[in-house]
Amino acid sequence: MIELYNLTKYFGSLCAVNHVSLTIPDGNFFGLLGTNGAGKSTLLKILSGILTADEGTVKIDGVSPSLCADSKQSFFCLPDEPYYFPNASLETMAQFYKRQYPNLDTDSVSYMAEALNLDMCFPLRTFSKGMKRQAFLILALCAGTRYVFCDEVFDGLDPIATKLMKNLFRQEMTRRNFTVLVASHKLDALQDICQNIGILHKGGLITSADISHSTADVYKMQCVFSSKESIEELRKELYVIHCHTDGYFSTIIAKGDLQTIQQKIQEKHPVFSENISLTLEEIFMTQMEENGYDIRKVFL
Amino acid sequence: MTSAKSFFNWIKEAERGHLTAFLSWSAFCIYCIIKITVLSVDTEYTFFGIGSTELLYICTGLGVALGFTEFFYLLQPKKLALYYSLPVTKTCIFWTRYLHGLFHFLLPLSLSMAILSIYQSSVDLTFYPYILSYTSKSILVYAGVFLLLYHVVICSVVLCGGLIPAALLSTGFLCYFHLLINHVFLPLSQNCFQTYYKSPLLESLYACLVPFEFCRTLCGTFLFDKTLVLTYTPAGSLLLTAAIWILLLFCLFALGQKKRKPEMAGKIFAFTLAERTTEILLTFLAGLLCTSFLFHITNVTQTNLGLAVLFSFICIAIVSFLLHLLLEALVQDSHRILLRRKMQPFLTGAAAVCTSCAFLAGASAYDSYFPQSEQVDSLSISIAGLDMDEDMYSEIMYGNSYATDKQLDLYRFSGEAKALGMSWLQSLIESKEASSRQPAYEEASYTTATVCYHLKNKKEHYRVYALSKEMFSSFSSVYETNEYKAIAYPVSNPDYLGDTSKDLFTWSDGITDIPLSLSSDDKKSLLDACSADVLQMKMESLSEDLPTGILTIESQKSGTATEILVYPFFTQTNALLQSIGIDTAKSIADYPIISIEIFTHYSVPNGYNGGVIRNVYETPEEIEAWKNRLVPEEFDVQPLLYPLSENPKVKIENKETNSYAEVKCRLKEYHKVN
Repeated sequence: MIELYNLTKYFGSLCAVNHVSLTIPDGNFFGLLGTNGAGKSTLLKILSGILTADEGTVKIDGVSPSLCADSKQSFFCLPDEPYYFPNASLETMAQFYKRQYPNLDTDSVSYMAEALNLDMCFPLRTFSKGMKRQAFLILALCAGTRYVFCDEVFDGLDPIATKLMKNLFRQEMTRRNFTVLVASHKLDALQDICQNIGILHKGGLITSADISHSTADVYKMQCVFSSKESIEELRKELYVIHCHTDGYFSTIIAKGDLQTIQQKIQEKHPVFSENISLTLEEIFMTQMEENGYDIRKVFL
Repeated sequence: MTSAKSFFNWIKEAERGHLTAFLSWSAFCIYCIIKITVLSVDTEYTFFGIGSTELLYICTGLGVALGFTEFFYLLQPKKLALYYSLPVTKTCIFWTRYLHGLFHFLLPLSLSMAILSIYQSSVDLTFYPYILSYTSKSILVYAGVFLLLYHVVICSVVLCGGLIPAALLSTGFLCYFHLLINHVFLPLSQNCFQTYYKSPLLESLYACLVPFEFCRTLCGTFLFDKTLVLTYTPAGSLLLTAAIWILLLFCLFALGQKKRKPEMAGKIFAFTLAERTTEILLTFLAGLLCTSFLFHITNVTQTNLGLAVLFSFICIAIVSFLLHLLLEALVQDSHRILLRRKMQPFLTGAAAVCTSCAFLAGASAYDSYFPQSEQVDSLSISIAGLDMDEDMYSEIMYGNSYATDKQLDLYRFSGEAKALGMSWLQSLIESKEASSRQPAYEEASYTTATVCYHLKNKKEHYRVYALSKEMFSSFSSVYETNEYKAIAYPVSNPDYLGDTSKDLFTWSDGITDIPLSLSSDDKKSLLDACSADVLQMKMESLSEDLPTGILTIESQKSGTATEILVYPFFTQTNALLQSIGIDTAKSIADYPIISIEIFTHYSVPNGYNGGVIRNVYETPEEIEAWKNRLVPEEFDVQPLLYPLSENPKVKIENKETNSYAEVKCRLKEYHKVN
């Protein structure tokens, strides 16, 4: 388990991480969401010991990584732009990491590289951005660590590679007690894999919760009404978090009991109505609204 | 993974780039090959260890190169992120890099020194006794030089966030004190103190605080004599200075690497303290350079002190403030605050003004310094132009201190001459003649007296005083002491040369050398006569006559030659020489002169040819007109008391061999002839 308590980091006069306290349970895919400059990368760097916090503590399995270098063997950090030695190939980097992480499975690295059609002997500098990302994700998965910290995890990957990598992550999480902490501002990429999220804004943690629990009483209804007045009436009758009309189609995200929401909609005699699942973005907005933040100020 | 395992693991990782190893091993390989080649033809002036300037450059270069290659990762944010995220401590990475660089210097250095010492001992038997001492000392001193430069660069890399700032800071470490001492304190002393000659304190500071200077001294690169090089051991104080520098820098970067924040990579400075210190030091230096320049161009003295302070303060305030703004613009990040630390440039500028004003304020005390006679252990006096040849005098006139320093070492008195010298100096200081170097006085001053008071507490105080002709004449009281003459004319002591019975005596009139056939008793009598004549000699006599010849005594034991200048007023010596058939009155005018070639120099503007007129006089009338003014160059030994001019070349016919000899001469003044 990863525990952050009152973590604060300043860059000069700028507060990049502002008194963040967070607990990341084991075996989860934890998404750290936020806009550019929200402090996601800084938080990941503090977690992995690259940066030192000005205040607060970080504990990974009860041990502070800044105090005990050996405890760093429990995690692998994959930054936004990972460094590789000049002319180093995937094989060279695997050998390098093997010396740092004795549990790194070089056979699995070869296997996955072959599956993703990556040449182990080619210099990494000749790889495209997506191929480099794949190569380092393979190394992260095969390092044998209990935790993986990734910054912009699927950035640069094409949809097929993204899906493949997600599957590999899922398999690894099923196979062993494996926790993934990813920082991203691309919510769609994490939508189908994240179980928990933490939302950062201007260095502060807005919320952190299990997606399924936090959205248990929030529903997204897609409807078609014959008159616009129906929408306005529903806004008054329901706890509407978000409402959007595009042509005939109106999308309402409302909080409350599903039966009540559906009953109120039926009372307006809709031409069409359906309960559809929330996207991560909508969950994110919901959480933000619930916590009293003006979404437009955060994301728009 | 245990710490030890992790450490060795990272030593291996440090090998990854191979650049360090390549640079160091290839440099020493090339050095070995070149030295072996040179040693195979010359072992007298070729030194592979101590005394080798090339090795000094290699060690300096490797110190800088290895410092940057090993610790370049500290300046690369992406590489830092990789290293610091791995299961290893920052300290471990740092120290493995440090040891890796050290290993790749010490091993090839030791090997190359061992190979070269074995080679030299095989071709040079005189080197054999020094094989161990010379080699080990060489390894020690050059390792010291490397460590100094290595530490300077590591310190700069730790304190800075970028390559260019680190390179500039390294340069600052190496040059700051050179600029401060040689370009600030020295000019300020020369401008403010009228009696300034040199300061042992400034010299000591320069030797200790300027790394290149003490590296050069440490490695003995100023030595050229083989015996001196092979037996050279750096002074303890020098080794201590090197050790202090190395340890100080070591502590600085050891502490710095612990406190250094990785996010500072890419910025100019990694520490605010380093940023502020650099700003203060640079502003202070700029302020002092400005003062030094202003004092130089305005020629300030205590009379215009108030005006000078005001003018300096305004100029320094402007310079300090502008420099501060520039530095602030460079060091501040995107969140720039205009006029941050605004009091800093004014305080630093004020410190610069105070420092320069301290020089002016202390000028009076400095110039009137005169120690109590009982405090003085010995006194050195060198008067420009007295007891030195024309070349030496010219060097002094051109501002070369070598000749004066040599004289000061030689003319050091602790007895009668010291007592008389002290009273002469007291009267000199009291008359205020020496303390004036105003332009008007410069014209009036006849020569200068450079003095060193060697105090009993081992301190030395140097002063230079301008002398009027009268004050110079009064120096005769010192000049005519036996102590002075024992140094200026060692032969004044009859026992100086010891047993001369088997030595070869030769008489030279400047053109012809005549060996003297003398018995042991004759030789002794001649030396006694010389001694008596020297002791009776008066300083004013030297302005009336030039030597007529030189008596050379060549030792049969040591082969050294001692020359005694014989003047016309050396009555006893001249009588003895004449009794054995030497015409001591014979001058160049008595020889058959074929021609006299005179070069007259005049000044021409820069970029123009000319400046020399060559006149050749060959007719008997012309030769007759010039010949009595000719003096052989060797006799030009008192350029102040008996000044000679021009450099004629005289051709003298040798009828016996039907040839001619060319003699370099000088010309007497007209009034001396007539």
